[in-house]
Amino acid sequence: MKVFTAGAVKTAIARIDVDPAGLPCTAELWLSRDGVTKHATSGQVNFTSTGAQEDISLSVTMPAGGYLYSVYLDIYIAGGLVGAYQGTDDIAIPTASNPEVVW
Amino acid sequence: MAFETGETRIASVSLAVTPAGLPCALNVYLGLSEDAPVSYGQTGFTSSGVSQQVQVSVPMPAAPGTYHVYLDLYVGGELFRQYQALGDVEVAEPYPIEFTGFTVSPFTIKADSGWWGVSYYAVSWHQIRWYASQRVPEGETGSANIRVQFQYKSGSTVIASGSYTTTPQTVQPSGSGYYFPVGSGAVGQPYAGASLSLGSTKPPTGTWTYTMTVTADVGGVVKGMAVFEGTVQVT
Repeated sequence: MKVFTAGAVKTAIARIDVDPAGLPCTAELWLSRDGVTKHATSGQVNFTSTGAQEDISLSVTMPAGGYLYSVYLDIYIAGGLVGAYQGTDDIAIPTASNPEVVW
Repeated sequence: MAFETGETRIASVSLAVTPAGLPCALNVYLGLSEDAPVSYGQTGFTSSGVSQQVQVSVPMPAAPGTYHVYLDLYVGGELFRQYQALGDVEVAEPYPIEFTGFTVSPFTIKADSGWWGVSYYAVSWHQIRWYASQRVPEGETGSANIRVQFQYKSGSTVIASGSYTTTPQTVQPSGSGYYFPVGSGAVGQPYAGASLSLGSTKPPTGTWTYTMTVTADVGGVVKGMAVFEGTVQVT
């Protein structure tokens, strides 16, 4: 589990291998509490397949605090969804109240 | 808040971390500045998603002074928030208690065998040092104990008490007027089990009656007893 703060911009590196080379591709990384709603997204990031493993940078602004978010990655080729993945690590964006100390 | 140097206090911290189920840790630091902590305590907890009490044991610094209280909140092993508590902590030397007007009552000798106990004493704010002797008449030998009992009273009410008994001492005959020590040491906790803890709590101001009884016995037979009385002035 990763812990981030709300509003922080974090860049994920998605290691993607699409064959053959030369295809117009897009990747979108998104965070969701329910697996449906995109509470934060990198938007669709274009890249062209190389036929080999390549690292795609996907930046996401961390959404509201107080929740756990699952991480999803969608891969499109020529506009068609060809891969939908869920990250193994969730993201926690905690909130904490101001503490009161009593001795 | 005012505490004593070296004592350990519990900081009860109320805070809410959401969502529930996150592994958290809370560090509580005392320091003159944020980057110079002199004492700290740490505890781990799991976030509940609502306000919860987290208790952190924190030793007070050895040096008197006024210390800021800093809190570091870790979530998932990452430093998540840093705070400074609104209230500082004042740390002072243990509150001094002056023993004044210390008067000693006349000896009460329970036996006329010529054995009797006597104590010399030096008192500090939290302990009593005693030094007991026995006088042994000509031709007498035996194995003796000296038992020292303490009581603090408010009027006739005992508010603290304690006792100490020596291991048996072999006493030897001596001529008249000859004294030898049978024990000396610190009675560090004459207040054990009492409602008044002088170790960490300032007792009520006022004048308290202090009584120390020294009993010398041989084979369970009381040979002599001396009673000392005095007052303790707490200001």
